[in-house]
Amino acid sequence: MAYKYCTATNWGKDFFTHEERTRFYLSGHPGNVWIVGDNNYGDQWISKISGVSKTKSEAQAIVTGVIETAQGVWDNDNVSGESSDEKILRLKDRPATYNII
Amino acid sequence: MTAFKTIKGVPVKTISGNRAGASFEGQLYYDSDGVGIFKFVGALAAGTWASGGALNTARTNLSGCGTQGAGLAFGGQNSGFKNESEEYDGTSWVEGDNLNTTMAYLGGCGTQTAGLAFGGGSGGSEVNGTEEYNGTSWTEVNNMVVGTSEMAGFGLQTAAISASGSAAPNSPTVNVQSYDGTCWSEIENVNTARYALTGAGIQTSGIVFGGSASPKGQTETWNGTAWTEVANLNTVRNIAGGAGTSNSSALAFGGTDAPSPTVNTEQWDGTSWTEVANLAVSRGGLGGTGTITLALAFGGTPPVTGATEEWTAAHAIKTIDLS
Repeated sequence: MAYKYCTATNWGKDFFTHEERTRFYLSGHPGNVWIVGDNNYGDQWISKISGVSKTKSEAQAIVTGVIETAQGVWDNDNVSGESSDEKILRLKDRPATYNII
Repeated sequence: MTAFKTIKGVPVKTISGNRAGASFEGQLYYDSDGVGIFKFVGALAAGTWASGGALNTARTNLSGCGTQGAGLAFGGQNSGFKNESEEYDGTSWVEGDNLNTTMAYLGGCGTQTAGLAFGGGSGGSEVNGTEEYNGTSWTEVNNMVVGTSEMAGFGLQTAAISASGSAAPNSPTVNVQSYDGTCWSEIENVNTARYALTGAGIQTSGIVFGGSASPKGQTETWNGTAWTEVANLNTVRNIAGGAGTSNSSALAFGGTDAPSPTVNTEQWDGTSWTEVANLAVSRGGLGGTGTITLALAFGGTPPVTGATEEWTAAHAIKTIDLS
């Protein structure tokens, strides 16, 4: 399956509809990155949301950058005397970077 | 009509219109909008997630209750613990009265006008506080017997269950507590101790699934008397979202099996979990509420989000014209 990549801010209700979800692949990622199935319905959705087109590598860089920022927040959120296990209990696992499709 | 009552023991219900989201498979009803029109509720069609209005305060490890069209989200964390409470009207979230205590990993159940928040943690230690919401404000009521966080909470404000979770000092517990609208009491334990699990249902018919105990897919059902181990989730996870009304009708969505969150959604039919349509945004630590036909997913991480998605899966309705 081929994909397109864009950024757009999710405005909430009707940003993507039930009908649209049945017509093309869609997944949202950190940094308002959206991966969209490459068909006419996907193109129409990108137009509807005024998506800013990105290459896959540009989209990946945005996603990774946001997660790295979250990792920094996690790393700096410490409580005096807290063990690493206790920190994970409090904050859950450290955010991890990943490769988009 | 008389024959139907004689055979089934109950009369045919009269309902206005299709009411697909509120019906159950196999139900026969009389459509009051028609003349001589009976309708039969068929199998559940494939559901999908659509976007809803975002929380005003983005957060994770929050709790919630209510329905898709009248939801309630409360507590959580995002650079600190939160006491914000918000109401959803099917389109947007509106800030309401705050919890009296800032809290994440708390349990929640009930409705938008009769909600219940219990337990939770705010810095690695479990608490036992309980608060009731009346549609306007939160009031502190009697504490849980044992302070617990990351439990599965389900039921109503006057008939709630807190199952398993993490009890002081940060240990997974098999303990289950029941609330009768006034006091908490200990009841039958679950089979597998775990935290970060999810629950759905009512006090006499519930289900818990996922959580920290390997392989993180265990499911147990509750019949009001005993817990029974049943089929595992297909996709293991903890801190997932959940919705459902009984031990035979539930949805599991999102969650994480470290380090990555999932978009996976599964539906429970009383026997097994079946994979259905994915969330658009992968996340763990999200809130969930509703039914297998009309559910709501909100908040979560990473990164911390206020995004909301609405699940809709309608039953096929067949018309039987007896005129």
